[in-house]
Amino acid sequence: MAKADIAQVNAAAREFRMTREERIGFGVYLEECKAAGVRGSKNARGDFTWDELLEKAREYLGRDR
Amino acid sequence: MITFIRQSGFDVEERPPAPSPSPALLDVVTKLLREQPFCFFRIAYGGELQIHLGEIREFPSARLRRRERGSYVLGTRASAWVVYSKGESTLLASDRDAVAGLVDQAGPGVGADARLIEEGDYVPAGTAVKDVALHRVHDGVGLRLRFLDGSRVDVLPTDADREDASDGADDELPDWELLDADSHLLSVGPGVKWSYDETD
Repeated sequence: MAKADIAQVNAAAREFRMTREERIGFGVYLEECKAAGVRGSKNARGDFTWDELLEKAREYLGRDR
Repeated sequence: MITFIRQSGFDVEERPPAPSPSPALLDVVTKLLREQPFCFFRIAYGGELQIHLGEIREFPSARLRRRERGSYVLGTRASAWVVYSKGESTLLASDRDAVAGLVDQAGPGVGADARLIEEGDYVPAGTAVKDVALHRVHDGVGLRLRFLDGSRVDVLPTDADREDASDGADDELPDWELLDADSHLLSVGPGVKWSYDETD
């Protein structure tokens, strides 16, 4: 469900203390990843699991951990 | 993937908006968005439509392929949306339910990838917001943006009964939100509650 997916992005953004601007850009980044073929394993739509979202957040922010 | 309806040859006829459910909220939204130029649409994760307005800026992350953003970002969150393009005589909607009961002329339409909205010239870049209106949609507050060229965007909070109670969302999402040029956040919904956080 879109609502659950968006809520998970919010939760991941909070986990990494993203600014509002970063959080909004993170949603765009995740969609760009899917469009580029880098898809998650959560379902057939290529959505991301919680662990994958955390990994994507690190990637997006340029953090190792 | 959300259902996306694109229907050409659409007559962009407007019904008069209902009285605003919150004059104070309308005042805030009007002050923020009136006369702001349209930049572009973006689809974000979860099928959320973002409407970028104002001046072009860059997102801070170097990982974004398309780093441009508007200085004002209206996020539709999990709400439905309808875009009425005057120039293209086209209606685009997040899903069929968004159109049902609201637009008499809507036919079956054509399902398509929602990201197509990013490529079209449905609202010409630079077209300013003429005015905004608020109206009750189900138990929430709907938003209508009207542009000077006659195009408009409706944001339509969905009926709570339509939501899947087992969707696992323990985070209460607003029905829509607006990040302004100073990174202040206006959050509207669920229901009629709203807040405008002017802290950084």
